[in-house]
Amino acid sequence: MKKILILICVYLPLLFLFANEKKEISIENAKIRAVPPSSLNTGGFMIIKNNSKEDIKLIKAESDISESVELHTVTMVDKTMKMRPVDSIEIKKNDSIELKPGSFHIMFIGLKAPLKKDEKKVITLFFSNGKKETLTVPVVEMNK
Amino acid sequence: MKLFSPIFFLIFFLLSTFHCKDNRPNLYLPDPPKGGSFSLQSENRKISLDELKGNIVILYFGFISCPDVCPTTLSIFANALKELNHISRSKVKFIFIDVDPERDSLERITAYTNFFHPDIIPMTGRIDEIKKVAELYGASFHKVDIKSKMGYTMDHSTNLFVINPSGKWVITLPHGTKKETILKTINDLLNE
Repeated sequence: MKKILILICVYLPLLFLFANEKKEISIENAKIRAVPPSSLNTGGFMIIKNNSKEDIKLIKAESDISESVELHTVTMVDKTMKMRPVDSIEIKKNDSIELKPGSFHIMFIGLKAPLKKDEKKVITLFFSNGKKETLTVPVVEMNK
Repeated sequence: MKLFSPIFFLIFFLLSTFHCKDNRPNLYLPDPPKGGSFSLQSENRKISLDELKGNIVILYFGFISCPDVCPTTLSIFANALKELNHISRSKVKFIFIDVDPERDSLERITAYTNFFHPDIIPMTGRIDEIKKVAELYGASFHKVDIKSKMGYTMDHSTNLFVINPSGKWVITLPHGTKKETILKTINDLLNE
């Protein structure tokens, strides 16, 4: 009985500690925009939260839904839309960034097959701190 | 003496403002679009703006590889079309002018616009033809090489150009214009 009590006293706090430990990186509201079958490219959007004490960068994304996956941003300059690739997307410590239309996004170039609404696709994100996150992301019709 | 000081300062103030040089920069107000008729290739034939008289026409310049503003705008416009009754909808022509004929064939552009709404009219042409239409309406587009598997992208203006049933440009709506504003613009013109 004594041994059981000791084990509980030792392991219960550890269990509690791990249960409450926040993931360094968390992803919310991830989605891929459904596009017409004739469109060979589309965008991926999400909120990336950096719960760590250091600034990090999203440096790469991978998925087998397209020939190539890149990080892009969109800016409006003099009412002209300009889309450009970026090397990375920074997320400050204890902060978050939203990949959204009109801003940073994941660019899927050369879709291998038409995307269907509600399909789930796998995306892997790679970060500058060595972490990676693999997500299962729905295809959604945006602006409906 | 007590009255002299405030009067003096009032006079001083009036004189100083009279002689004050206005250093504010001149406000630049761009010329409104000239508008005007044009003719571009659509799915099966060339369509001219003149033959669409009697309808409200809304122009938008974009391209298929755009993952952002183009599908957003077409979605919003499609949502607006769906809220019009059958009679009103028949009097509205939304034209998507594709500025990337190098990559976007009319077949693909038609499939693209049909995805959002079958009533959206696809159009494109030679670059010089599209540029002439863009100039008439104050739109712009530019091919830019980028370090990407895409090879290049098209920088382009994102406005909606509204033309009344007489064929005259009446208003330019900016990107992000809500569906409700588009509907109001359409209904106001239908009720004129």
